[in-house]
Amino acid sequence: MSTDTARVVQTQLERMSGLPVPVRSWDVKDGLDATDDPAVWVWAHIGSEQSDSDALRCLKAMVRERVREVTDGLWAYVLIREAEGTEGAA
Amino acid sequence: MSLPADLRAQARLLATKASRRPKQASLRRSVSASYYALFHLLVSEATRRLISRSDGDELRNCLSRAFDHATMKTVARQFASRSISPKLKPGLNGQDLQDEIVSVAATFVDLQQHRHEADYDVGRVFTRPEVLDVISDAEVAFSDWKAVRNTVQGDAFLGRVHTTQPVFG
Repeated sequence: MSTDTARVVQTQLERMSGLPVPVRSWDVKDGLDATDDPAVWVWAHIGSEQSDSDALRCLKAMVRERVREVTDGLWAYVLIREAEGTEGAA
Repeated sequence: MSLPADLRAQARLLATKASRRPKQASLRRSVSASYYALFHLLVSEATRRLISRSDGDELRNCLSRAFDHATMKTVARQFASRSISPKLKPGLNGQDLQDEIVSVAATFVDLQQHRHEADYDVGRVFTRPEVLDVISDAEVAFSDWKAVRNTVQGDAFLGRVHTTQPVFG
């Protein structure tokens, strides 16, 4: 896997429009998953008021599809985080 | 309740029981329970198709231990990407995969990875909103599964996930 994969994905995600949930920022990393398959992890940082679960699922599917297109088939693990004021964990 | 239903309930309880600042251990066990809820649902459905006789509980239990997580992930990823083997496609009677089976498969792939990180990656920090989202995905997968469990696509998925050898490539 190219070391540029995460950067390429991040650039492509930042260019996406028409998302069902406004995304304030993206974090992307690449690596090997639990079964040693190359994969991409995407954290979508959204506002705390965005809690429509259907819209979030749609967002994940769109991101997964976009990552597959720009990486020649890598799986994207998409996680949702609140952009600010995220509840900390002990 | 069934084991899958119990695990679903446990996942939500673990993530919500603390009024503030949930323990990482609780959030991690919640993620793990979410994965195993879906895993055991699919395994239960598959073994019931294989052994339908009413006195087959013991045999179903034996068979359920033969399911391989990595194989299930490989199959789920094929369905989630709508890229199933050409050898399997004729069995679907020319129909495109339903959104619900694609969603179940995608959630299975995601949950398996989240479970692995929750159980083994001690550097990973989970937040409650993130874990509640994982739980929500698992719950939707349960309802999506209901929509396809009696379809040929549901049978194809279960038939494939219990096959440890790559019969269908």
